[in-house]
Amino acid sequence: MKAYLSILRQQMIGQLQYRAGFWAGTLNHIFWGVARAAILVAFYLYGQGEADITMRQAVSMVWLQQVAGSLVPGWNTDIALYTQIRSGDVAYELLRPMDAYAHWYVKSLAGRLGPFLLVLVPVLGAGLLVPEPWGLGAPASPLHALACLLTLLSGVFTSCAMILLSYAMLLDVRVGDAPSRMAVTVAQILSGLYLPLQLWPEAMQTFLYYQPFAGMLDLPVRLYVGAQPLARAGEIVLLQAFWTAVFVLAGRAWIGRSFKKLVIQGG
Amino acid sequence: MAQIVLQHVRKTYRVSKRKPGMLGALKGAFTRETTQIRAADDISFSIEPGELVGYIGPNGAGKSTTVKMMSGILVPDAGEVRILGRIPHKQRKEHVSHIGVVFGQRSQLWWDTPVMDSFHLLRDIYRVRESDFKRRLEELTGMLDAQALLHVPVRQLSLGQRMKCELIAALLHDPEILFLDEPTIGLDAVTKLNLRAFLRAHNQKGVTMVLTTHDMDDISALCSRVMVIGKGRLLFDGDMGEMRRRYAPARVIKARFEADVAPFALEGAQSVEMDGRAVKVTFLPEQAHADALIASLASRGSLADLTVEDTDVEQLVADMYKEMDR
Repeated sequence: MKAYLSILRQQMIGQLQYRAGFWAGTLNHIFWGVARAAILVAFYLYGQGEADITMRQAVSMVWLQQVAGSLVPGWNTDIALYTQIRSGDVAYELLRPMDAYAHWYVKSLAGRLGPFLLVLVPVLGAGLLVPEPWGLGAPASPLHALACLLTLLSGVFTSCAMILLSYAMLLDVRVGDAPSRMAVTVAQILSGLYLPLQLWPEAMQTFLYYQPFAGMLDLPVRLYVGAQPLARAGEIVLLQAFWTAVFVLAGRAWIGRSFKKLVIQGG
Repeated sequence: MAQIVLQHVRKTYRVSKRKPGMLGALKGAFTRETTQIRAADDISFSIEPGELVGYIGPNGAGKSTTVKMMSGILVPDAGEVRILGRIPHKQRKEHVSHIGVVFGQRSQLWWDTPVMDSFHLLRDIYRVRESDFKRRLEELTGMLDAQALLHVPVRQLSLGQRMKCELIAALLHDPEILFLDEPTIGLDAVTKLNLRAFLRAHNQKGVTMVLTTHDMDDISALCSRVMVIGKGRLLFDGDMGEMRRRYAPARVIKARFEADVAPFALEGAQSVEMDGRAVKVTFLPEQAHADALIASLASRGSLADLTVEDTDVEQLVADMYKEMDR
């Protein structure tokens, strides 16, 4: 256990020490927060038809997505393992007296949490400073905010299990890296990273609620703005746990199978 | 009892062949030809505790494949690998905590952070006790003169400095066996000598080592035993002296006369090559005695300089590799 904690710490330190990276990430998130808020405001003011959530709620959700977007599987943050697999440095990982799945799981946990902690305060602060109607509104209640934070954190476990599944695809050389990239994109869209899921067509709402990716971002964020009653927070956690279990079982089985056929190429 | 035992180990890779260019790529999307490459073809050997074995062969001969099977990250297709009584790929976690591995072309250190962070992490991963860790780190950094490197981020180390740290990293958990895959690749002469001395000292403490390299000086300087592999087969397994006797029995006398001498032949010698005042005499020890040849050389004129040498190891190995291709 100590080993896994050390890896978590080491990975976080690795991510937190680049100053330029910090500023670039923060400004990038703030820029897109403002831009996306402006687009939504325009739609709400000039668009036709009804939406399930108010403009204020939708804009706040966009800001929270900017803060917590890194918790969702992304293409950029796990490049280390991708290149390791491609270059064969993955060999060293197999030389450790550790469970490879757990080892990578912890690494991707750090890969999600590091950037999140980095931008949490500045982007949240910036969102609150931006004036209405483009800024981040106050939470429905302090308890709503707390529920949002807690479910975001429990959602990371689903995220990482999903990432490990994408690694399994990557390890399987027959598959190449296209499917895993595609899977990541699908995960991002269905987690509501690009558009809050409640703005999608009515008919899709049940599906969108229960599919595995909603729990990574959209459902927790709904709690903050009060678009989901606080009473359902427990249900959200159960949903996350269910999908985490499914992804972990699938990922473990697949990675285990790939290791048997693994070819470490080159010298 | 032998620490490392390989019995009739085989490993075959499938390599897909594709024609180059756009058309080839398109065609490859539908049909694919594969060829089989035998990286290990019925390899058997055993290594005793404390041995330092050189494992050589041309590029693509199957050296790395064997090392990877011994370290448990590749599964052999057939045959058995047994190390310290364990089957590496089946008891991987147990196995790897008793071995250390250095791949010269890869890094096991964490790129972004100071070396010391990597060492602390390895301490936790291998569950090394703090007191043992401190003692070993002090000993290893002392031997390699690497104390000053501990607080430098890995990405800022030179290749030689990094290799020192890689070695320390591989030895922190006090492994009984160390696999070295081209540890001196790309290093300058001083660093090479440094590393060799370190490896020798460590071997004398009882660590079994298997050294893969293309640097024949590494082998001559370190290894009592050499294994040569080519096209997946073990071609030679024995000591350096025997390898010489079998593959390059000839010896060479190089001499320089003080004045010009007319060309001549020497009885018992295989060949005599003259180049101005310099002369190179090749002979087999069982056919002629060096002292007789030197005496008859000296009788032709006064000698300014004289050496008796073995055939160059580099040349010997090159000849062996060429023979494999036939």
